[in-house]
This record gives sequence, structure tokens and C-alpha cells, in this order.
Amino acid sequence: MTHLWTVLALAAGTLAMRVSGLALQDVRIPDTWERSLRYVPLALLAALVVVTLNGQPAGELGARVAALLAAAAVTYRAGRMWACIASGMAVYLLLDLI
Amino acid sequence: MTTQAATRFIARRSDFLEGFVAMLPLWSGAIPSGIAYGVAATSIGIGAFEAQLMSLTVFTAAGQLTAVSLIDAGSSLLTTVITVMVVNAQFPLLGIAAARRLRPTLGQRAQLGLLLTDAAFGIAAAREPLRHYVLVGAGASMYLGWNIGTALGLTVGNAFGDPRAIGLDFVVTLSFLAVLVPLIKGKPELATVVVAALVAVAVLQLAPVGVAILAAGAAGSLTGAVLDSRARPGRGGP
Repeated sequence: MTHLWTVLALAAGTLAMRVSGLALQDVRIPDTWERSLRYVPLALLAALVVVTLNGQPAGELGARVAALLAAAAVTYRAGRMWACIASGMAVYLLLDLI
Repeated sequence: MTTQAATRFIARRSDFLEGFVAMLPLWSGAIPSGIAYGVAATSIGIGAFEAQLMSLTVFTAAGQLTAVSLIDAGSSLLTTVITVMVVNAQFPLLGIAAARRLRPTLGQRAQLGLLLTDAAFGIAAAREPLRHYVLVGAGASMYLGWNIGTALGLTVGNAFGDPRAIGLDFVVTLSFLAVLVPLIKGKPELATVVVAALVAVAVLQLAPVGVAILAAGAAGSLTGAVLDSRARPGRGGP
């Protein structure tokens, strides 16, 4: 299966998003809008965490949720991307072995 | 080349290099994210050519990882594109903020159309006055780091026979978490995350993945915005 069309559509769409802002330089955005938009990435990321866990069998889901909680705690402390991925994968693989 | 043109060329080159070098420390984030994306793309069976092409033409970590998880869930092209564009919601705002101060020409807009990211804008805006070629240099630097990371990730992913068998696809979930956690700075943010996660779980029972993401995004960001305006009434935005 090829994903070439998806890639090209995403490239065109993302280019349009970036350029639209550059073209709208004199638009004033209401404060409330800007404030709401600040929370959009956060909400989407939370949804994406859930979506990527969807459809896992029960035992696997348990291991992944436990690893996520551990990684969240590590990231909250360390704030580094690689620390999050490394700690999460470590806990997950450990639980998988048991 | 006239002396004037030569002077301008040298100024542009030095601005470009200034931005490029200032971004290098952030490669410590760009490379691992690129690797995570490359591994994730391989683990769900996206070909190396297409995965690298996406990094070369789309160039957004959150958007590309979103695309990977949607493709993995079997979403249609339309759903995938719409959802990724919602994830890209900050780009028009970033573009407005940059253009208001830079007044870019058409050619300069085309350069930023590929290279503008929040990190590059942050780096360039930290150096007064904001200059176009510092921003382009910072963007180009991030672009290079992201694509090197992607290539490394594709290599790593392909080194394992079946990445999914050892759970490498879990890297996708973890990389979303890695971007999410540092954004949580108070109660409105925490409420946003909790509401979005709960709505996602609920909607997933009855609707496709794309719908669940958009519903959770809307419910979560509304929650955050309402709590934010209560917590800080009348706060003037930039």
C-alpha cells in the first residue's frame, strides 16, 4: 500500500497553513481566540495518546498505561524528550518480560 | 555584483549562519523526535521513501506523528489531512506573528512556508531586531536536524525485523506524551488533558479515530479556555 498521496496532501495542506498566516499579517486576533487556540495542541496530544493505545489487548494495554505513567513522572521531573521515551520503553519492556 | 549587493549578500549570509548556529542546541530535541518518527513510521509499514519525503515536505513533528497514528488506524486520506491540519492550528498564528514584524516579500514568504516553526521563531525573536534570514537560518537548521533524525529512525526501525513484535510502535505514544507533559503548567492545562483523554476514550467506542481526536480536541481546548479566562480575567494578550 502506498501513502504517497497522503504525504503530498499533507505537504500541500501544511504549506497552505503556514503561508496563510504570513499573508494575513494585518489581521488582529481576538484575545479569547488566541487563548483557546493555546489549548488546542494540548487537547489533541492527550487525545492522540489515548488513540494510540486503542485496540491493544488487555495485558498489553496494562503494561503500556503503567509505562506511560512512569514516563510522565520522569518527564515532569526531567523535561527531556529522550528521557520520556527511554524510561517509558524501559518500563514497558520490563513489564513485557515478566 | 555591485558593492551594495555584495554587502547585502554578506549580511544575509551572516544572519543565516547566526540563526543556524543558534538552533544547534535544539538538535538535542529534534534528532530524538526525528528518530521517534522514523521508527514509528517503519513500525506501521510506511516505506522509507515516503516517510523521509514527509519529513522533507511537511516538516512538523506533531503533525507527522499524528499522521502516522491515523494511517495506522486505517483512517481515510481526508480524515488524516483534516486532523493533521487541526494539529497545525498554531501555524497561521505563528505566520501572523512573524509577518507582522518582518513584512516579508513574496519570495521570503515562500521560504517561511516550508521552514517556519515555533522553535525557529522563538530563536529568531530572541535576537532583536527580528531578521528574516536569522529566522530562515534557524528554520533550515531545525529542518536539517529533523531530517537527519528521520533518516536515523528509519535505519533503526528497519534494522529490527518486525518492529511491532517488540513493541517499538509504543514509541509513538511516548513521543506524544513527551511533548505534552512539559506543556502542563497549571490547572487549566491539566483539566484540558483529562477532559480530552476522557472524551477520546468515550467517542472511540462509537466513532472512527479522526472523529474521536477532533471531538476530544474541541472539548479539551474549550475546557482549558474557560478555566483560563476564569483564572485570569481581563488579562491582556500579546
